[in-house]
Amino acid sequence: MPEGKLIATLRALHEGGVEFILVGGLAAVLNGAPVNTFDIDVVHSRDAGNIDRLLPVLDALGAVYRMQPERRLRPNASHLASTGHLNLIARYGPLDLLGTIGRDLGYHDLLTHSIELDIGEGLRIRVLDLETIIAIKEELGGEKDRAVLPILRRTLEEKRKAPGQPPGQSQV
Amino acid sequence: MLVGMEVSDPDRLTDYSPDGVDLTLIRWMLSLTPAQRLEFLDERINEILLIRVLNAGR
Repeated sequence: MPEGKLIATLRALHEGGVEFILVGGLAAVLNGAPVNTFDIDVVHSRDAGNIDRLLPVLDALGAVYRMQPERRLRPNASHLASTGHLNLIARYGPLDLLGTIGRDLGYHDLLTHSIELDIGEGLRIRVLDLETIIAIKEELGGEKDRAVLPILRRTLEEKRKAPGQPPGQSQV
Repeated sequence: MLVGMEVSDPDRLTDYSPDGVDLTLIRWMLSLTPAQRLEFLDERINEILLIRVLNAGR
C-alpha cells in the first residue's frame, strides 16, 4: 500500500531527527476521537539544535507560508525560535508549526503530557494526550474549540471505560 | 449477536450522549489502532480532495 500523505510528513520530521509533539485535530484522531481535520499541527522543540534539524526537513518538504504562497516565503531559524504559530503549506499538505499552544506551553512543558504511538510502518511519534487536548481547548474557549469539546470529552469517557487500549499505544 | 437478525426498532441500535455525540462512532474509532485511525483519515481526506477536484468551480 502506498504511504499516505499524513504519515509521509510525520516520517520526514521523525527521520530528520526533529523533536516534536503532534497536537490538534490529528492528535485527537490518533487518540480515537472521530473528528475530521486536514492539517498537521505540531509543537516543535525550539532548542537551537532542533531548529537546525528542522530547517532542512522543511526545505525537503518544500514548506512555505500559506499566506501569499506565490511568494514562496520560507520560515527561517528566528521564526522557528519564536513562540508563535507558523502556518505552512508543504508537499503533502498544510503543516502548522507551533512554538507554543494554550497558555504558552512549549515542547518541554507538553512532553510529560504526551504519549508515544505507533502510527504504522515502524514509525512511533509523540502525540499530545486526550486529557491535555481537552484542557487546552477548554482554556482557549473559542467557538471552534467549544464545537469539538463534546466529542473529545465523550471519547475520553469511552476510553476510560474500555478494558484496554488498542495495540500500538503506550504511555511514556 | 445482532448480525443477521431482523431489527424492529432501529433506535435501539443507536447510542447518543445527552449532548448529541454519537457514541457508536467513538467506540468504533477506539476499536482501531492509532495506525488504522491515521490510515482511515488519510483515505477520507484523499477521497474528499478528489471530489473537490472533480467539482472544481461548483
